[in-house]
Amino acid sequence: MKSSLALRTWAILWKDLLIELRTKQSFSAMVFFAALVLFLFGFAIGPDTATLSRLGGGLLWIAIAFTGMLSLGRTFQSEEVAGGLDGLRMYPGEIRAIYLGKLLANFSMLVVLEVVLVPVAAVLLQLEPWGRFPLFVGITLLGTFGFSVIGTFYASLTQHLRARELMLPLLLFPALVPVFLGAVNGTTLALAGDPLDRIGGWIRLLISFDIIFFVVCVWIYPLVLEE
Amino acid sequence: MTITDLPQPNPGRARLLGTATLLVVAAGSAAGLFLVPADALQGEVQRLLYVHVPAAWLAMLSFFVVFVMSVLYLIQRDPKWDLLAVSAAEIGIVFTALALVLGSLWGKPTWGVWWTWDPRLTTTAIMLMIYVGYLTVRSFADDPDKRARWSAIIGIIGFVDVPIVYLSVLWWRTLHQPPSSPRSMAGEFVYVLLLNVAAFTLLYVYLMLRRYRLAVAERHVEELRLTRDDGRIT
Amino acid sequence: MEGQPSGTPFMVAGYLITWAVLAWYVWRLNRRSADARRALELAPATPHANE
Repeated sequence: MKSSLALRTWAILWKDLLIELRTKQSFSAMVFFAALVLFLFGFAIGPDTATLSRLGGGLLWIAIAFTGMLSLGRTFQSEEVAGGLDGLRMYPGEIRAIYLGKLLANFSMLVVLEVVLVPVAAVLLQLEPWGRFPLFVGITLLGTFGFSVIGTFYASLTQHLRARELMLPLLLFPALVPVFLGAVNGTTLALAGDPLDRIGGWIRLLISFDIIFFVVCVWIYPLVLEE
Repeated sequence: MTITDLPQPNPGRARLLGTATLLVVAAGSAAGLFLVPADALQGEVQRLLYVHVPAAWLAMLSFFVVFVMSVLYLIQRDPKWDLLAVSAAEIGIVFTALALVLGSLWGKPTWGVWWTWDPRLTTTAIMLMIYVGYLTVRSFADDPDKRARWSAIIGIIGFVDVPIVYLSVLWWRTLHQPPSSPRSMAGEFVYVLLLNVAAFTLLYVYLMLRRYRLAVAERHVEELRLTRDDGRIT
Repeated sequence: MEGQPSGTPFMVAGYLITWAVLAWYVWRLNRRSADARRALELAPATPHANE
């Protein structure tokens, strides 16, 4: 049955990505929103490039987190509109494929967002990731995956709650603290240099978080969708 | 399992427990304030630890109780676990907020600042937010079964998250400065602290009893409202 | 710490806040219990058809 899980996951992932590709507006809106957040930080902190550069890792991840939060809310929107989730649920086969497919779709979209956002942030905040680029990419991917794991899970859970737009961030941000700390500090160390070699600890933290919560969320997910 | 089958605590026993609790807590506070001398280094403010430490202990105990009740509910689907969980969550929030306030009040004269991003204090603050999320989800879910199931899931995920949060904040703080938190105490101070911890734990049992009874009653009221509104017989 | 303001007012405030909060919470429990009891008394006889 493993291959049917993979097939169904792939089917859901592919469907969601196709929808995103066809309606590019939402993706470009995400990019502009993230850039806007960076601009707001510039206005709030002031044009001192030294300060902005020093805080750059943190600011970048706040922009990613806020933008990701908004896009997460739409994870199940296409199903809600067309009543598609009930159809998916009645399909004989793994409910977990829904979670996995959505998780990978969210992850992919965030990664594409970051590909566009990082150069923008590099320009606005005077960041230089090129020095330790593989480390920078690794940290970004680990952080984004952790965000997507918990984010997709809570997006599904809050789908039918009142005040969903408020509940998702309220639930998500406390749970994301380890990911956020790991991503911000790892990114800052990757950007600014790491004389005491602290980055290993952060990478281990991110990997542990990702594995633990991936397992827990995949395992518990059928309970979320139970009728 | 119907709502009418929920086990109810005995009211007479609750009143007895309440009186005993009041006496023990008063004794603990009196001991902390008058029985022991002020700390040589910290001065009077050290007495705050006799309430701060028990409050923090209960905050974490309650969090664990929410976790256990959540697991039990998801396995057995018996409403009493859900009602015990919400009781523990509400009481947990009270003690968590109290622990934070007392921690701040202790910190200001000791370190000069109201907040230090100390790993334990910071994790306690995050724990408070997870509690708040738990109760907020409940207030936004109208169907009792879904409400119980979703909050149980959040109770479990939140509990798994807190140790990782603590480790991440600890690592973060280690990079900047070694963690400084209330160190262990000597001599007679420990006994007074233990007395207060015992007193507060007794208080916790009493509050859980009362809160659970209230939860059962409110669940009955809700059930009446539901059956009346849509004629659905449960 | 020398030069720091005295800790005594903070300590007193802490104890007062603790008792106040706990007393308030117990009072709230009593209030809500009374409300629930009243609601249950006022309710019409419940049609528990499954007993």
